[in-house]
Amino acid sequence: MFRRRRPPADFAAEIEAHLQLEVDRLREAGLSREEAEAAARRAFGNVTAAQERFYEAGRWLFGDRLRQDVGFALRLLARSPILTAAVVGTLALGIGVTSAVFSLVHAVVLRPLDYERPHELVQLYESGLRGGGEADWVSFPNFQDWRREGRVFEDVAAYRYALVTLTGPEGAESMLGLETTDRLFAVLGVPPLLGRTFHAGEDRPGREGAAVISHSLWRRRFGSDPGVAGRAVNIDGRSCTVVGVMPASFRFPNNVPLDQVVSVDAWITLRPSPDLEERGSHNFWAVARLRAGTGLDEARAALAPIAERLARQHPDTNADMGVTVARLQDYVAGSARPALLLLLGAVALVLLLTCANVANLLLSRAESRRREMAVRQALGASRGRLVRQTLTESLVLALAGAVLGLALAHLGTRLVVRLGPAAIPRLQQTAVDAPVLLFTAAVTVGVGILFGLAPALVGLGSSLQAAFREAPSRASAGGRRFVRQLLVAGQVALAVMLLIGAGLLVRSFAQVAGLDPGFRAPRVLTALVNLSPSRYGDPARQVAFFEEALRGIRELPGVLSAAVANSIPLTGINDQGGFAVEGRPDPPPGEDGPFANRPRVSAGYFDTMGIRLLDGRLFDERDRPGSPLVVIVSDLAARTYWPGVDPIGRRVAVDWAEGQAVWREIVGVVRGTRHFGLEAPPKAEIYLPHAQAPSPFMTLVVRVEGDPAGLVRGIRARIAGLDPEQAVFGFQTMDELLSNAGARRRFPMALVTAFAALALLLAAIGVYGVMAHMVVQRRREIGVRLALGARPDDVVALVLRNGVRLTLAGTAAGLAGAVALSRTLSGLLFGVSAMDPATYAGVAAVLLAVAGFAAYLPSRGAARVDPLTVLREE
Amino acid sequence: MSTQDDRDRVALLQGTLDLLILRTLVFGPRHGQGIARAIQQTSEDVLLVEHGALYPALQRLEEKGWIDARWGTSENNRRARFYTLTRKGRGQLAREASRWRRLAAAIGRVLGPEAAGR
Repeated sequence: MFRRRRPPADFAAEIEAHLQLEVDRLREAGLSREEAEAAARRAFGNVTAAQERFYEAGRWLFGDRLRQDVGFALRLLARSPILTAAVVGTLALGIGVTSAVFSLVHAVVLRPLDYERPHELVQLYESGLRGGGEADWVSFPNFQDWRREGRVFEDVAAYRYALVTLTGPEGAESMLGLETTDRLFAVLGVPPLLGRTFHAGEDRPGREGAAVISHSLWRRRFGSDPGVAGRAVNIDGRSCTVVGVMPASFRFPNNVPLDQVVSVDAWITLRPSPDLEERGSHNFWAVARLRAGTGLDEARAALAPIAERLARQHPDTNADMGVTVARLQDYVAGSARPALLLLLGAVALVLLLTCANVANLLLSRAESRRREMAVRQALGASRGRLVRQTLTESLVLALAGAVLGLALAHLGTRLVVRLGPAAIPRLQQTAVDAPVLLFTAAVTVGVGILFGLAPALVGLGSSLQAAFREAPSRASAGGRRFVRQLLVAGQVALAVMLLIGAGLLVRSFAQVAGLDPGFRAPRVLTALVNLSPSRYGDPARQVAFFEEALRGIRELPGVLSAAVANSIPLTGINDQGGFAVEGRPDPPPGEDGPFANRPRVSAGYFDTMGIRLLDGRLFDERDRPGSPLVVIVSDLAARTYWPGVDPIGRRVAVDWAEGQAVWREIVGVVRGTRHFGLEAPPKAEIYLPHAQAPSPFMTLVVRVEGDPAGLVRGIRARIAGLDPEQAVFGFQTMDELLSNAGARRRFPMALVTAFAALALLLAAIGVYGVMAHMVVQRRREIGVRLALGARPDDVVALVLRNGVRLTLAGTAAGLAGAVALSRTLSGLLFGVSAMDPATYAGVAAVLLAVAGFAAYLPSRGAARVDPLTVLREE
Repeated sequence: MSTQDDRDRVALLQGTLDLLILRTLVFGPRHGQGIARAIQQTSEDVLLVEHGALYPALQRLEEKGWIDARWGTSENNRRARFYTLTRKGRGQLAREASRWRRLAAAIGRVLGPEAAGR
């Protein structure tokens, strides 16, 4: 107890001296030697108990007590540095990954959006939209009806992307713009940095266009000119006034694929367009602010009758169509949400496993400290005092683990921000910030108590006699062994669950990666070109520009082939719509007609993209504006709309001129592509030659010999050489697009797999630890067995049997747990069942093998026990 | 050993014991047993100091630098550890004593003449 400068022997000598002096005094007072000695001891009392009581009674201050406990814990931990390092390291890992994953989930899913009162913001879209599949769009007339009749909205706005070209003395610049109705900024409640946002009614036809620009455009193009508001600019050939600049932090929207290439630089008032009148053209998104205090259900209930009335009034476009109201926050997190919540679940399992491991480590130490605990208890230390002491120890450990863990989490989040897929919205905002720190603190305390409780309770159970008896009593040792085995079996079960989850995700990923996208991605560079409507309004000029540009690009060294298309796979840039098949009756109202994605491509597109021709011919020089109109269909389109028939020579119409279908003849069939993403079901495709169906907004695709990045400069120069006011932007390789498409899946898969590997390791360590401990405890029994003629093999088998039994129990529990959780996972799988027997069997086999090995190592130690030595130790 | 007894006994407040030890040492170096006796006598046996409880207190005071200890020989030729008040200890005693006097006076006022008189 006196453990500082003074050696215990010195203290004992002083006590002895005191007793001697007291005896002397009492004998002087006339007592006999025996009486005097007894009285002296009585007067002295029990030194240890007295000290305990002294400390208990003397300390009023919690802080004092805490300091004492912490000091004691620190000294104790310093005494067994290896154990302490193991525990702190394990905890750092557990707390670190948990905090990192939480910071991720917080940034993407939980953190409120950076708009005013974000909980009132909702995304609105048409549900039950046909043909286009699942989509979050709305047609402008429907939006107007919702806006007019929706009493639950404080404000509502519609918007859509527009690639715009800004021209002026500073040169031409193409950028991503957002066409929007007047109230967008009112809905979001974000004030501009400079100038103003839109006035009410500023979006009406006939008014001059107004633009609010991004901070980055302001800096880049206007040199941060404070007087920019009010400046006239030319956007796509239309005069427009810059009315305001948004702050640098402002982003809207922030969840659509195009954002990955470029973020919105200009918000402009709605421009006249025929589709503003078309109820069947679902080309807008809508966002709204609910009136304060309005719940989602209330909003849904208010909008349902409007949708019903629209469905009755416009059965051809609106039949069976409802309104979906989603919290903007959930809408933004979108498809990343289930994967992130899965990660959080997985990391919680890892944390539990960590706790079990640490509890086991501490349990083995608690056993060696049983005597100390028993003595302290016998000397009058209260149980509460001892539990508090043990818990202080575990909290000190947890705290150390948390500090290291936070450092790990910080590194982890930095890594995630660097390597994480851009496809996950708001991922870039991941950081170890105040809420994460708070979370970590809570986890630390929880974890400290969780893994500290088992050793604390074990330490208390022992009586003084039991603690001092040479061999621990069978009952209490058995009880503790049971606790440890339970912990290890639990670890095995958790590891099994994680491994199955990881296994299923890996198999899904392999399924997706094994899919043929329908094109050859390597060494294809893409870039966007958006011709200015003022100078290239004439379709003939559009065709001429792109043909000239492609001629120039093909001359660049390293270019194998080059082409343009208005819609290439995986970019989110689509040209979908219905079409007519000659000879096939129109579908009755309310039913789906033929529907396809209809890319307009230049000759050479299929070769450049590596899309295989299956039948007929590809586009070539013959397919000019005046020549017979032709199309090429994908194999899926051929199978779907001309089943059992050769489609070549048949005719389709994708557009109508003066009420008459414009028939185009099918000249070829090509392999279909996974245009909408690797996992999305492929849709029918109908390719039109660009020369016969011009478009001003095209994507360049260039197949190169070497590194695609090396050609960016050359391509820019060729386009600028053709027209210095024409911009080319958004350079990306097809490989990048493919990788981004897989990223949403690869990212959680990689993390869950890492967690599962960690879990497997922890479980193996757990099995090893408990088996090694068992061998030590049962050395005597093993020695006796060996002395009585058991062969070493028998001893190995004895230990192995024990380990395997433990593992089997844990594995069974883990399999059951995985089955129970399979439903939550099924949404994240692709091409594999959540109950995939191969995965389950494989994981069970891996676990048994690993755990068997972990049990085998200590069993060899058992077989090497020398009976003579062990029996002599008795 | 019996915790029940321990609880019933009036425990000395830590500060009280410290104060008593320091005060006892004002009159010169003493060993532990001597201090225990002196406290018992001067407090007219009201304050029961279990001798064993004295040593942790002495240890603590020594660590705080209020007292010094060194082994020596007792009046009847026994080896014993003698404690001396340091300069720091004297200062502490003065401070503590005045604080206790004020506290005692305050308690007296709170309890009223009757109770205080007991």
